[in-house]
Amino acid sequence: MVEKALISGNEAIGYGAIYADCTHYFGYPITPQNELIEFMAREFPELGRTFVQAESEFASINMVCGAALTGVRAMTSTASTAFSLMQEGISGIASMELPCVIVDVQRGGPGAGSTQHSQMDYLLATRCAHGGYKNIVLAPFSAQEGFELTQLAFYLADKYRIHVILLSDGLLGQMYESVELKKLEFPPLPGKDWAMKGCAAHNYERTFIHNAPGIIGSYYDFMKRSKEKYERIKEEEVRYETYEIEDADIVLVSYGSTARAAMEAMYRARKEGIKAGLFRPITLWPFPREAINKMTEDKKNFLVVEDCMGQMIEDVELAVEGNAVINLVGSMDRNLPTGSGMILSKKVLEKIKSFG
Amino acid sequence: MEKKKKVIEVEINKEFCKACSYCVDSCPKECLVMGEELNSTGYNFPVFVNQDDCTGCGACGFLCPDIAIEVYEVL
Amino acid sequence: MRCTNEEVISASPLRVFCILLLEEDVLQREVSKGRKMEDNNKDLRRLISGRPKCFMIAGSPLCAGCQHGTISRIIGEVIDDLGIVGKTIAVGGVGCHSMLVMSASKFDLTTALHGRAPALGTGIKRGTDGKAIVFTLQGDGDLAAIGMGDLINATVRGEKLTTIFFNNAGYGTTGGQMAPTTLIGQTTTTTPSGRSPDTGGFPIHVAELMAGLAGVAYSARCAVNTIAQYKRTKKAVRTAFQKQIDNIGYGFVEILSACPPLLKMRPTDARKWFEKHMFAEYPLGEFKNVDETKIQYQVET
Repeated sequence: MVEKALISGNEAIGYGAIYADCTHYFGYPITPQNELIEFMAREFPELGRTFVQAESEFASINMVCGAALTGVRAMTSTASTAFSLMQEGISGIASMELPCVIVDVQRGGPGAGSTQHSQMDYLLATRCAHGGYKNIVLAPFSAQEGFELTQLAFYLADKYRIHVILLSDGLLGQMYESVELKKLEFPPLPGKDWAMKGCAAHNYERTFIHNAPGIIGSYYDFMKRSKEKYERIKEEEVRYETYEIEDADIVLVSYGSTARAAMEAMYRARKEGIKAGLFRPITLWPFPREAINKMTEDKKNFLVVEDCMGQMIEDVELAVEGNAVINLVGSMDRNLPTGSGMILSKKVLEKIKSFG
Repeated sequence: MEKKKKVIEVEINKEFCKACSYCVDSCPKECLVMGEELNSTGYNFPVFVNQDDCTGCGACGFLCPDIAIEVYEVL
Repeated sequence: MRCTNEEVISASPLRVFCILLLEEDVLQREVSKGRKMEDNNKDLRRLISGRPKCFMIAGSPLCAGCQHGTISRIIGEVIDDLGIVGKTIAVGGVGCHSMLVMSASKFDLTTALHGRAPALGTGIKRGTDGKAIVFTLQGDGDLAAIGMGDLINATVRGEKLTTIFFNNAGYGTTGGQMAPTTLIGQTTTTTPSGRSPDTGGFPIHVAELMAGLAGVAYSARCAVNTIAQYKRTKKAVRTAFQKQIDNIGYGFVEILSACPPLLKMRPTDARKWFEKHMFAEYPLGEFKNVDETKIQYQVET
């Protein structure tokens, strides 16, 4: 029998980490991901795993880096403001090519912004910090998917030796849903023979993992290896879901919690005779660019729904290559243009109707 | 009974030397002097000149920042 | 990313051409056999002072007269003495201080972002379930400026780590700017008319500061100018490691290390300058040495 639980989106990610055999969690409290760090503080020590509350996100991301160096499955979670703080550490992790999972429960910005839901970290998560590296970005749209994508994130991280960002948002994190708790099965992974455990573990040959690929060793080799890795991920790991897309005249593109409002609007539009469909990217990097490009053969109207001033719309624009009209339902279309506002399906429906 | 005198060998890896002369300064018996010859990177390196006075305290080897000096006691 | 020792040396930022000097086969033999390699002449002669066993035969990428080299060797000797080379993991901060260890060590090594070595060390220590002996190498810019919070919080968290702090009164790698440890009146490239308390502030005494923190088991300040100081430093470093091995608390050693290029002096003059000025500002000695960390007050739950 599959275990079921009524849990918040944040806790679902925590359960996902437990089911993925993540053994080390390092975090720092920030709204709206507090349920996650509290969950980890409750559950991890009981399971004999490591929970550490760091003094800052600088420290927590570097602790993740240290733990990942030793070959264990490590993760941290944070929200937008502190996700910015973590960027240097994430760049460091990218230079060392360490597998780990970073959860970003998005809140409003810029600055301290708001403590409420938003989707304003899209560009930061997919375009990354200094140094031109890439990372896999996964975006769940329900607690169930959050639970499953967390397990997938750890698998992909180990498969490619890359860090994976799980881009959740405040609404999703705080929302309670019924989740089926089930361990996902993945193909076997290669061993972590590169892990640092003291030179005795490697027959007294030292392991030297460093964050300066341009100073130590061959920079060319590093760049070549990274490029090959990114190309492979782009080829093999693109994930998305489509709803009612076959006969659609207008395609909504949306990810995360906003995709739920978009989905409702899409079905309401269909009831009113408008042929709408929904395209929901699950991997934001690699972005399903080809799938969207292919749709432009017979679909010329795209409506991007995201709770920001327009970030994913840039990727959609690149994908359609000028072959379609793109409009945005963004933060300006929240039901209340304040910190507590959110995009409702009513507004999306209005936009669908007035498209053109 | 006469105490047997220790035989000390001081090996100087001239290529590692950067001529800081800490070894010459630290030798209590003035057994080392800075030489005139240059190594391949252009530094003049110390020369062990006074084997008879050397007590094998190891100070030159301990304080050398470039690990260019090794002091051995011949058994 | 793993790379061979030759690559490390050939690409070291200071571009010392030690690659030419390496005896290839000797190096290869050393690398492959690691610690197990015994001195061939063991029965014939005894090493009094020289290269620690846990260092490969490699030239130092540091400047002439830089005492970081001496300190690095002390660390190597202590690791040899304690017999922990197989489970030691070094975390080098950003700066000159870890360069010799980077190019020569036989133990595992990683590099941290600027100032984050104690946090990275925490991750490694936890990741290995406390089995690894983790120590951080940090300079005064890395530790006392950008990384002060990480260091203090690592001790506050009760981490069992060891930190070797290289205090050379300025930023060496970037070309001689002011550090928090720069003396008042000392000229650097960012204090061209001498550090003034009005605009540049005051030197920070990290060893004394560390002694006041509950999680710290050992804190000392040492130097390596004379052979007596060398021996005291070695003892201090050994104790700092021992506190970690015995799972007592944080071990911290601050070591004053002359940087001739920073002072724009000849090595011997730089050493004298350190004796005259640095020792006056930073007294040498042991500031804390306890066998258990104390709990002052506890709420009953």
